[in-house]
Formats: sequence, structure tokens, C-alpha cells
Amino acid sequence: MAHALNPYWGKDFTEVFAVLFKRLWGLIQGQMPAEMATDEIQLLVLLAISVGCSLIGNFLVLRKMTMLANSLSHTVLLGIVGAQVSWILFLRDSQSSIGGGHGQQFLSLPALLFASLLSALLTAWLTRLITRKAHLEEGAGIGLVFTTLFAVGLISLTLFTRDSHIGTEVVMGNIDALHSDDVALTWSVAAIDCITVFLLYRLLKTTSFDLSFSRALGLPCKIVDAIFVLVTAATVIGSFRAVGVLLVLAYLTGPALTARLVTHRLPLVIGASLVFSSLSSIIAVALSRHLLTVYQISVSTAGLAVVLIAILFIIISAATWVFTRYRQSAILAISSNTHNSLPL
Amino acid sequence: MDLLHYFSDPVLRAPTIGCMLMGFAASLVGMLMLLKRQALIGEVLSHAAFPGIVAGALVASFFPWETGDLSQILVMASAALACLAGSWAVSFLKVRMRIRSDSALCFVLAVFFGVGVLLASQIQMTHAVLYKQSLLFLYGQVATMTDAMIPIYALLAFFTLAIVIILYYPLQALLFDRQFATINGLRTTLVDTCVSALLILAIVVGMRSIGVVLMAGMLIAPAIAARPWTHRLWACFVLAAVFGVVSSFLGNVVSVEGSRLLAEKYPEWKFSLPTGPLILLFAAAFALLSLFFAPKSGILARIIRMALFRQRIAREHLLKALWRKGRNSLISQEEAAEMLSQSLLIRWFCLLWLSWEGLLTKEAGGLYCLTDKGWARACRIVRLHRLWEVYLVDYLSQGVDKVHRSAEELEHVMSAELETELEKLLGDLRFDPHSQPIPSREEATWPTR
Repeated sequence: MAHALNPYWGKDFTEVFAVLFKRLWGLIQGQMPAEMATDEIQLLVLLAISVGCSLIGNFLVLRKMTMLANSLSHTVLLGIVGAQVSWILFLRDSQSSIGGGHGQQFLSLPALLFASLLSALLTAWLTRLITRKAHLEEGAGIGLVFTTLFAVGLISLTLFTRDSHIGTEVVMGNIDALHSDDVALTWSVAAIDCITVFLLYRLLKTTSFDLSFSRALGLPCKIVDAIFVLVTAATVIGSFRAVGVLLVLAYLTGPALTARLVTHRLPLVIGASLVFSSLSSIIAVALSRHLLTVYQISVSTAGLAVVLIAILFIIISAATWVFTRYRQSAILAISSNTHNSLPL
Repeated sequence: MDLLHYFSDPVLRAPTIGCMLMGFAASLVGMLMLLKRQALIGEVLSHAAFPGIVAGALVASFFPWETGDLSQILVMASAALACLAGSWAVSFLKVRMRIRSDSALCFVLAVFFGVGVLLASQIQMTHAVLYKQSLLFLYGQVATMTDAMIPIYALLAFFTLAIVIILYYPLQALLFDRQFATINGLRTTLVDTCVSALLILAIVVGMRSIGVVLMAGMLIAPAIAARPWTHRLWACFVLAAVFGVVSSFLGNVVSVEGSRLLAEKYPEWKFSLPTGPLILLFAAAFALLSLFFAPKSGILARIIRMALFRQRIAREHLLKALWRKGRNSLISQEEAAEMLSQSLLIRWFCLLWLSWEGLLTKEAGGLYCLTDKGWARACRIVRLHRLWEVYLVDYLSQGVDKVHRSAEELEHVMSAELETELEKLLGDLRFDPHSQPIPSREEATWPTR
């Protein structure tokens, strides 16, 4: 069945790349394959997430908004459940079959995405409101708002669908259930991210590094902030089907932090984080296939990608540590030499 | 509905007491975290416990003789280890790698959860039962708690209390003035380690009943609820514990009773209310109510205080306007409206308040007149205004045309001490920079009887 159709079936780490390049070459030659294999879909989706997240993630880290992104990603659940519940309650024709088998009749993807975008914006707005009006510390405000909204989401979920499966899938993602629509979705989110960052690059940069300066210049800080929250929410929501709302946070922060170890120029940091996250995505897809083929272990590709991001961070930080130690000792050696030769 | 029934019934007893112990431990530790301004570390560590839970379940499956309770203890222990690793990772990233707090927290959270997902996806295929069990810890599942686990939770919860009591004074010093504590030879790293250990204990106690995802809220909400009511540390702890325990109990009761009611009303739908999220909702409701209604620092209290201050300013403006008209002049409602550009309600309230204070009297025909006391009060306001103008011009070299605005604001808030000091500094003055007479001190004081 599917195994026979999937050209990656039974391939190990290097063979995966061989097959991939062969199929790519075929594509360039004009031989359209009948449909994309699961591994290719996974690869394309993870690459799209890498592009979007490394563009947005760097600014998130700079603006110290990563924990806000965390709260947005939690309340995606509320949006999805809310859309589902309101659809069941108000929009469906037959009220009688609520408790019955409605498992197949889910809402369309765009409606769900719109609802989760709304709930993410609600979260951000409520957090700002409560930290400002009640003079709470920002962390406490974030924690109070998103856990409460998440609890509301959970209650309505168990009440109306009696199916905690959606909850688990939202939190953990289900990369095996992806299909070609998800490729289009994630790449359009990545395109939105690209366009936003391209258009607002200078504004984002200025407001991220020096908010008071940009206010003094009369830049539209609040509008930029709102747009940025919106785009962040879109990025998180676009990725939740593939990697889940929590693992996308690793894509947002991990490559950005890794890139900052290497360089401090913003364009270079963005480029480096793009390279790092794409690298982890590609290796994750190939490695999960490898593990399945050689050891018969089936692991979540998304989880693997996150672990690879962490490993990459550890490797790069160890490398920079060794490098700085080496350079410091070289500088010390030079300076001690000059010190001896100078008459004091 | 018999509430005591929740402590005696063999089925309801374990979940109720387990949740209350969770609320107790979480709110004590949450208060510490809130005061340390690290409210979100609980969120990170509770997520970091997830790989530990999965690994613990995996390890427990290797024991052929395992019973439910033993495997639970194993799960708890390995979750605590994972929390420890998470807390170490956060402090390593923050201190050694100089990564900003929020990015470090977010990165550690996501990576640990990623490891958990990786492990979970592995056991999903091989040990489907274990996968289900470890998912229970994600959102909590109180209904299956057993009596055997209660003593262990109780032990951990009272251990938390004991550490908080023993370390009360060091904690107080550390929370409110870290440098003072360090200078006085307090071993701050040791106390910090104890606080982290407390946090891990609270998470381990709570993850079974409320789940790792909602644990963060339980660490924050009761603390936020307690904070606005008092400024004493012990009272904060007591209040937070009360809020935590009460919301746990209420969450349990509402979950059980609500499910029963719904089952009676709509038997075909099989509704059930989850306990963990309900507990958190109660705690969050307490927090929101406290933030809104607390005396002094609540939102409502602040709104009232601001309104009262605006009202006082309006009253004093009216007095000044009356003073300008002269000693025994009478004014009508309409004239007062010209003097005071506020709305009808505020104006009416001003007049009422001034009459009640004995500063105005109502003469025949609805006309108002200043009393002696009112005259003295108006003189004092004008005097403060003009003294401040003199000070600004003479001592701070402000332009004569610019001082009125500042004096207009300060006349309402100037204290008696400042007035005396100004008099001492400026001497006995007759005229302000605009050559207007300054009312004398005698004129401006009303003898208190």
C-alpha cells in the first residue's frame, strides 16, 4: 500500500538524500511525480516553518517577547475549540445529533485558523491590559491570562467534544497526518512573514533595539507592535498542525539564540538562524526515516527536529567557547610580550 | 449537598484531598516566585517535567511486578529529576551564556517538551497503555487518584510548608533586599537552591491533579489573588494558601456536582466537567476579583481615589472662584456653573459636599454664601498658590508668566510642613509676582475647636 508508493520506504540516512536529489532532478527535467511522498511533505513543511520562524524569532528574542509567543501558542487551543463549539451550537442545522457522531464534521481549516488568530490577539490584548491596569509584573500577567484561557478551552473541549485528542494534537502536533494543503498553508504563512519583515525591516529593527528613541522619532511603535503580534500569532498557528504549538517555540527561539553566538549583525543573524533551522529540519526528516528503516523505531519528526535544534545550539556554543578561549589566550600571550618589552 | 461528604466518601476523598494539597503547595511556592519576579519559571519547569514523566513511565514498565502506586512514585521521581535538569539549564543559559531571561525560559521549555514528545512518540507505538498514562499528566486526571498516594502528597506538601517556615527570615531578606542579605552573610545561593527545590516539589505534587500545562497557572493565580490584600509576608503566604486550597476544593465540588447535574439533565450527551481546569478557573477568578476589588491597590480603589481627588480639586476651584467674588457675596446655581466647567452632577455634588463640610451656607432663594470657615479655607488655597509662585520666581528663577500653571497644580497637594518651610524661607510677604495680595496666615487659618 502506502509503503510501496513511498520511494523513501526502507532507505537509510544517505539514501534518503540520494532519492531526494534524484526526484528533484527529475522535477527539473520536467517529470512531475504523481504526488509528493510523506517525507517530502514533511520536509517542505518544516522548511517553511524554519523560514517563517527564523525571520520572526529573531525579532521576538530582541523584543523580549518570547514568553508572550508562548502564551499565544497555548491559547490557540481556545480558538480552535471556540470555533468548533460555536459551530456546533449555533450554525449547525440539526441540534439533535450533538452528542452523537459528529467526529467527521469538522470545520474547514481557514475557519479554524481565523478563530485561533482571534484568540491569540485576545490573549495579547488581555495580557497588555492586565499588566498595565493592575500594575502586575509582565510575567505574572502573561501566566495568569494564558493559563486561564487555556483552562476555558480545555473545559469546553471536554464538555462539547469529549475528545481530548484535539488537545493533544494541538499541543504536540501530528506530523504524520500532514497533506499537501499543509504545504501551501505553511508556505503562505512563511510568505506573509517574509513580506512583513521585508517591508517593515527598518521599523522593526529600530523599535526592537531602542523603543524610546523610536518613540522620540515619532515612529508608529504601537502599530508596528500590533502587526508584529499578529504575524507572530499567524506563524504559530500556521505551524501547529505540523509541530504543535509548543515545539514551534523551539523553532522561534533556538536558531535565533544559536545565530547570536556566531554574529551580532542583524541580517547575518537572521541568515544564520535560517541556515541552522533548515539544517535541523532536513536532518530531522532524514534521521527519522533512518531510525525507522534501520532500527524500526518510529519517532516524531517534530520532536527530533527540536532536539536537533538544541544539539546544534550546544555544539555551536561549545565551539564558540573554545574559540574565545583560544583567542583570549592568544591575546594574553601577545599583550604579556609587549608588556615585557615596554619600559614602564 | 453535604460538603463534609467530600472528605469521607471513599471515592471522592482521594481526589479532593489530593487537589487541596496541590493547591496548598503550589500557592505557597507561587507566592515566593511572584515576589522573586520569576512567575514564569513555574511554567517552564512544569513543562520540563513532561519528558521525565514519559521516561518514568517507561522505566516503570520494565518492572514486571509493578503496581500502580509504585510506578507513580517512579514517575514522580523522574519528573522531579527532569525539573531539576530544566532549572539547571535555565540558570546555565542565563548566567553562563548571558541569554536574556525570557528567551532562555522559552528555549528550555520548548526543548524539554520536544524531548518529551520524542519519547512519547516512541512509546506510543510500543507501550500504548503507558502513552495514555503519561498523557494523563498533561492535563491532569483526578478521578483515578487513590488513597495510597495521599500520604505521599501530604508529606511533600508539609515538607514545603516546613521549609518555608524554617527559611522564613532568610527568604524575607532575600526577596525584598538581595544585596542586604548578601552583605549580612546570608548564603543566597543555598536559599535560591532551596526555593528551586520547593518549586520542583510543588510541581511534582500538582502534576497528577492539575497537569503540567495548567500547573503554571496554579503557581501564579493564588499568589496574585493574595498579593493586593496585604503587605506582610506571612499574611501573603497564609492568604495565598487559603485561596489555593479553597479554589481546589471548589473546583472539585463543582466538577462532581456539575457533572452529576448535567448527566441528570442531558443523559444522552454524557457531559463531564474536568476538575483541573475548573480549579484553575476558580483561582483565576479569585485573582481577578482581588485585582479589581482589593482595598488601596485594587483597580476599583484606584479609580475611586482618582475620582475623589478630581472632586476635591473641583471643590477647591469653586472656593477660589467664590473668594474672588468677595467676602459676603451670594451666588446662584447658574453662577456656580459659570465658575466650574464640570458636568451638572459633579457641580451639584461639589455644592453638597461644601455645605456638608460647613464651608458654604444655603441662603434664601437657593443662593450660596461662604461661611467664615469656608472663607479661611479659600484664603489658604490662594495663599498656597501665591506663595508657591513667589518661590518659583525668586528662588528657581522661573519667568513670572510661567508660574501660574505649576502653582495651580501644587495648591491642591501642598502639605502644611511645606507651607511652614516656605513661610520661613520667604518671610512675611504681602504680594505675589503678579502684584496680587497674598492672604495672611491669620486670615487663612480656621481655629480648630
